[in-house]
Amino acid sequence: MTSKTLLLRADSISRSYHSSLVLEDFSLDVAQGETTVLLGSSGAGKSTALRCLAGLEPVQSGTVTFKGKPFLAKNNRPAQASGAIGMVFQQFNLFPHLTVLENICLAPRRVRGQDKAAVEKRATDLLEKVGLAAKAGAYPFQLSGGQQQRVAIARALAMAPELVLFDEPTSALDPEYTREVLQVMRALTAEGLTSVIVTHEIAFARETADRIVYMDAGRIVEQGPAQDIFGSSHERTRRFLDQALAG
Amino acid sequence: MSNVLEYTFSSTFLVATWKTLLLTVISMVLGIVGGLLLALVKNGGPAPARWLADAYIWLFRGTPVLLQLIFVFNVLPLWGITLEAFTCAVIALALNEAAYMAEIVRGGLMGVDRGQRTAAHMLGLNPVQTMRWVVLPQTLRLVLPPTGNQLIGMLKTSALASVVSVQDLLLTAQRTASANFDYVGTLSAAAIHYLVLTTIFTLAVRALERRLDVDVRARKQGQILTRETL
Repeated sequence: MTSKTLLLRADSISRSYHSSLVLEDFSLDVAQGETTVLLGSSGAGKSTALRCLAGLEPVQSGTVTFKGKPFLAKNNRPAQASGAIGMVFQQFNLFPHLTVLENICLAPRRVRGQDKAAVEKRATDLLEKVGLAAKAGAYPFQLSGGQQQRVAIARALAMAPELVLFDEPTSALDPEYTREVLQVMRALTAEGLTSVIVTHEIAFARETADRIVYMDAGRIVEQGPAQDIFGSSHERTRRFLDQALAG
Repeated sequence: MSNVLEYTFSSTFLVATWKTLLLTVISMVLGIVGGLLLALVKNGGPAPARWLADAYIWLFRGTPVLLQLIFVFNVLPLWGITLEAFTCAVIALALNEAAYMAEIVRGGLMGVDRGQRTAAHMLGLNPVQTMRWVVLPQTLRLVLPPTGNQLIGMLKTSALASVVSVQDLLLTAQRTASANFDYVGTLSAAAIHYLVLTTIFTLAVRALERRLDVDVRARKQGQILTRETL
């Protein structure tokens, strides 16, 4: 595990809104090819942590480095993104005025200036991968939530990101749609995609995560290899997992 | 009644209507461009620029457009700038319109979900690209109905230009009447012309709205897939 290349490192970052500390002393190393899952109850600071890793939110202290380079939001302006870190959102955030294919092709075309035919070919392949090849010409409003999220995943992958951050990707979905999205994520993870995932799907976490971070009240309670955390004797972790697995 | 028809189809009235149409459309286009720039400045410009935009809107919304029109027409020559009455009218109407359009566009920009910008940012789009490809196309749909309102308002406001001797529809009707005292006939004919233009504007805006509607676009593609059928 330690021989793998370090991709992203958060070193003791803290984030506060006004005077309340929502994230405190958060540290995390993400190695290439690893799946990291952030667990914890609502309000534990998981999504804030993820947004800080994405460079979307400024931190009051600590550093985030991506491939050794500092990567932080400053003065309320997000760090300049290049598409190297992809992100998948709870609310999908597809562009409603563009078709599925246009959603996927926009960034590769406009940001990277790639050839139209090549981009469309790649987009079609990605749609195939997420099982939506037939929906290339559809608009987001014509798709189910699960389909929209799968398109959003394809859109993120179109920039060939080195890391994908998933912010509660199934929290807005019905159980049947949750399954199809998790299936796509499982397949990507198995292929070696590096990811940091915020989720409430404990079974999915147990099955796919290399590393688990359990958070509570803005702090990391425990983190480590998945099997260690699931076998944890830490009282708070134990209580959370028992409850989550029972539910 | 026969006089009304005669005036309605007379070349004098048709030429005057053409002038009113030009005045309206040119002022409106410039007003939209100005309003867009003001809205973008207010939306994300540096603080001093935002204050200037606020001051501009305060000034041009806070004084009568007729005052602005007469001001441009009478004051510019004092500064050595002599322009045609028509040009003066365009300047005054466009400056005034920009103040109103700024607020409409700003409302439209605020109507686009924040998540859209976040998604665009994470895909690597810079702020200009995000505006151009993600935010503005969605804003356009939101601002179209109120902009249609403004366009029709502008058509009628353009009649104020008759005060500074622009030979528009209203002035033409008045001048014709002052020669023959047929106020009923001339003003009725002018009213018909205004109504025809208003109708055309209304239909044009509606057509544009339909073109921008993804629902309609999707149906044209022959894919009537609603959430229910999936």
